[in-house]
Amino acid sequence: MENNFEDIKLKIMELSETTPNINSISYGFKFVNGQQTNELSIMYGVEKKKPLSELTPDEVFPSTIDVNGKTIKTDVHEVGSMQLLACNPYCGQIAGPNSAANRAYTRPLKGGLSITSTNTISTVGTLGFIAVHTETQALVGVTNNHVLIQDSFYTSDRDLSGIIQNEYNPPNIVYQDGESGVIPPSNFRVGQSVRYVPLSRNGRNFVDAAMFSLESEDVDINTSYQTVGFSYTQPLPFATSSEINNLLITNPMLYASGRTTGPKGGAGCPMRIFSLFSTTVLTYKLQGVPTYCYFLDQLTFVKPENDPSLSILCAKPVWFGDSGSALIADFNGVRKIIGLVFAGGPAGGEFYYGYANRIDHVASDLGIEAWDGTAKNYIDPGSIIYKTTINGSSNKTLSCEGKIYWQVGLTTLSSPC
Amino acid sequence: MGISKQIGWSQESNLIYQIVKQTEYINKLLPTSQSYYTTRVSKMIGWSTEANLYYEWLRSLDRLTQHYANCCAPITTTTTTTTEFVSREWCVWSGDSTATPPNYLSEYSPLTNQLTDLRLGVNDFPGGTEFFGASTEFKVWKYSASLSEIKEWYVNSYPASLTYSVTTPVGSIGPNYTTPDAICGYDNDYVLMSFYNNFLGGVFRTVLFNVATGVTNVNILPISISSGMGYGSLTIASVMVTSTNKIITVEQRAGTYEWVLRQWSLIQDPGMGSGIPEVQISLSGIPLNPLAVNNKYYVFTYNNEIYLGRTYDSTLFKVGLSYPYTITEVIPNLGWSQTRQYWSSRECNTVSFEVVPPCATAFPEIGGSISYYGRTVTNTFASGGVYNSLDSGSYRQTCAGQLFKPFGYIIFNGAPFTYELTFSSPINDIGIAMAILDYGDDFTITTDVGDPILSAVNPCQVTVVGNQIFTDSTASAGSGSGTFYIHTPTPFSVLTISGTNYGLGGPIWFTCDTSLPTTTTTSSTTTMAPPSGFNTIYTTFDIY
Repeated sequence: MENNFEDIKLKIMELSETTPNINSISYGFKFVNGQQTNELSIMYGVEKKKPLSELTPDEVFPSTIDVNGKTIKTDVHEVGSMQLLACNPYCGQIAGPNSAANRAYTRPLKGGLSITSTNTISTVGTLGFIAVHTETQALVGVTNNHVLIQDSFYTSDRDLSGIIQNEYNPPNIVYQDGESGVIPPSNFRVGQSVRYVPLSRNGRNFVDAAMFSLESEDVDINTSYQTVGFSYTQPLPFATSSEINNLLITNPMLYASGRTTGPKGGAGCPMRIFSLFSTTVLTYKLQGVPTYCYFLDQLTFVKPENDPSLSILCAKPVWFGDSGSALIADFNGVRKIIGLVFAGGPAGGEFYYGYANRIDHVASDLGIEAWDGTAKNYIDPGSIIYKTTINGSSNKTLSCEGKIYWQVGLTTLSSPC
Repeated sequence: MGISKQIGWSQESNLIYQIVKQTEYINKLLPTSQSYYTTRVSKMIGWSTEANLYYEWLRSLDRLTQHYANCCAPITTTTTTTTEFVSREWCVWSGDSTATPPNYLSEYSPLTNQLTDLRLGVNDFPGGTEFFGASTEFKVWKYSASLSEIKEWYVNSYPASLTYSVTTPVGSIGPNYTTPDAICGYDNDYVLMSFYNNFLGGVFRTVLFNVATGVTNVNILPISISSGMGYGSLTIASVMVTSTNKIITVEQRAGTYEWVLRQWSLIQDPGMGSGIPEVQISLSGIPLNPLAVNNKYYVFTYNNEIYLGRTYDSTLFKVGLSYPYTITEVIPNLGWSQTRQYWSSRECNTVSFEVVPPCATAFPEIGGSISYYGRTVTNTFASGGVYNSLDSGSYRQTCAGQLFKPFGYIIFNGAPFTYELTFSSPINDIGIAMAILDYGDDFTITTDVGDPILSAVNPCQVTVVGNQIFTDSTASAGSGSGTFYIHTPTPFSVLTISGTNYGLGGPIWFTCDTSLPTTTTTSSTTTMAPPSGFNTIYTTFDIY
């Protein structure tokens, strides 16, 4: 089965790069006459469905697709067809009372709290969870690139005559809460950004993820692995690749707690996986210029009105400010992190689809592992040192004198290896 | 009609031309489906310019005569219709944006709180289709986001009756700009539409849409009334154009989610390609009801006042036209539909917000004193590049409005410098403004009670980091500027500004208003790297 999933994933990647006029391709249950069926399909996401008579031959999608000898039906999914429904008004409410705790100044830290940074001070996002940096066994905060990093593109994608930016100098301090829009007093400081996974303008991207150092006085090893708004008190392991690949089959209840929409999931505010292996295009600022970025192998999640049926969806599974929050699944009573929320799928001014980076990609790309709640190390911000290479580079890391250095932008400093 | 204006015409020809165009305009308001138009006027070869113009005028009048004589009503009715609208009391329209059939459009009187319903019948959108409304003196439009269509009706008489005209599809205006979130009447041909970026929160594009032709003409008036991720807006809930050439919007700001009422100039700025923000009024004092299905405010004018209608309970607020733009609840809780919206026709939008006049106080000259909010402020130390200026005047910010430089301001020019102010009694908050800043300029602000908290209002190519103000690498030829507010929890008596100023002189002065705008923003951060020798930087770290 695992091999089959990999084949489907590869086919979706291939189709996404060769099919024009689509918003996304993903893997999920086929819909017939607006009703969800039990048949898994490859789903084309389009702006608006058209009658066959209005389509040119090039625009007609195949009804089935062969994946390594196995035939899979296709489905065409219209993003703009959703209606605003009378869903639970407190579930997904923008910056309402349900999410007040997410936006509050809170110590010790927990997942789901609002954060910002020096370099992104006018915006706000969410601390997803606290993890362990595998190499140093130090605790780190995990969120999205775009929550903390001003420009996360590879320096090889940047114009050397354009804006020269990096996350090293001046230090990119992380603040909690991140609500003020201006640099807050020093007691709001919780750490400093130390690594991010660079984005590629023309290549494939899998994660929008960054991590930051933490101070021991802001962390309680008995509670800081918990998430704001949830009564579940155990540490959250990362779901395995196999568990993520089987999410459509196991169909667990999902949970997420973001800065803006607060805690969601459970009977009063159910969330489910809509599709897997999703491709999507988003814009990020490359030296101040909005630039398309191509993402692959994403999780798509929704808030169904009549759980577990996905035929009718509610708005706002995610909203601006929720970026960076953890997407959590309940596997028979054990909750595990399955993704890092980073985007929403718009339809008529609303979001009906949330997108999350798979946690297996996040873990491997950032070099982190789940925190089991035991005592760990802490990063010393004063120990941060740098090396440089000439001009831009497409190398995420640099090995020098036995240490691994991570790319953090452009500079005029010079300290070659 | 095919008439065009010629270079070198006499004043008389120009005047006649205007008459012809006006008559032609009235003609265009007639139904187009009727084919009675056969010219009964002859044209002679070799006529003068004036004679040709008179000929075109006569043709147009002839059409009007035929129309009202043969098919509709006496000519006097036409005159009455126009006159009635201009002089009538009601200019405000209203609609329930998600009502199920039958759909109505209503005229609304804030004076009596009465809605006069107009049934739109089979030409309306299907029941429950959410829409945005717009109007001018002669036309009413409804836009459905889900159907991507605009429907147009003629306004016939008073009390208004409407005649269906046309349905026009609205397309995308570019990648990611697929759905407008507010519209208003611009003139009888165009509606102004604001499109939000589906992927970049805070980025909008505003265009004019010709309802008759279906052409989205970005080039006619490419006013970008809100842009910039993070300090732009998530939603433009309501927009109106005034007869005083202003755009007034109700927006929810990205980042802070604060609702604001903003006024923009309707003058295309060649340097920016965007409207210039003039007034920003926070709506934090009248919070939305969180239970509302459709959380919005709608802005409209009535009887030379500007009003806000709040969804959920239809509470009506009046907004003062002059600073400090006091918001007063005038009609509480009308109890109407949560989704009812309001808008007024452009011809009735005769008022706009008064722009706060420029206002400033010069820093004391070197060794001198000034009076500031009842205190004596003395320059007690100055070194390096600090200079007195005998100049004054306005400074046009590259990304915002005007800054007014008072007479005799201080200039920082050259490196390094220190300038110290001592206040006769402690103070918590002051506002300063700086202009003509270049890349490489930096300012560090300290007080005798510790580092202050800085915030920036309308910063152009400058960034606040802690207690420092830096210029961005894009700042050149004095293009950096901004207003900055300095706050300390404990009042301070001594304020010290030190730093470096490259290039042109950097004037600095007190703003005279410390009751500052409620929303502060900062621009994106850039490093202070000199412009050569670029490298990729890598970092690593250790534990303690």
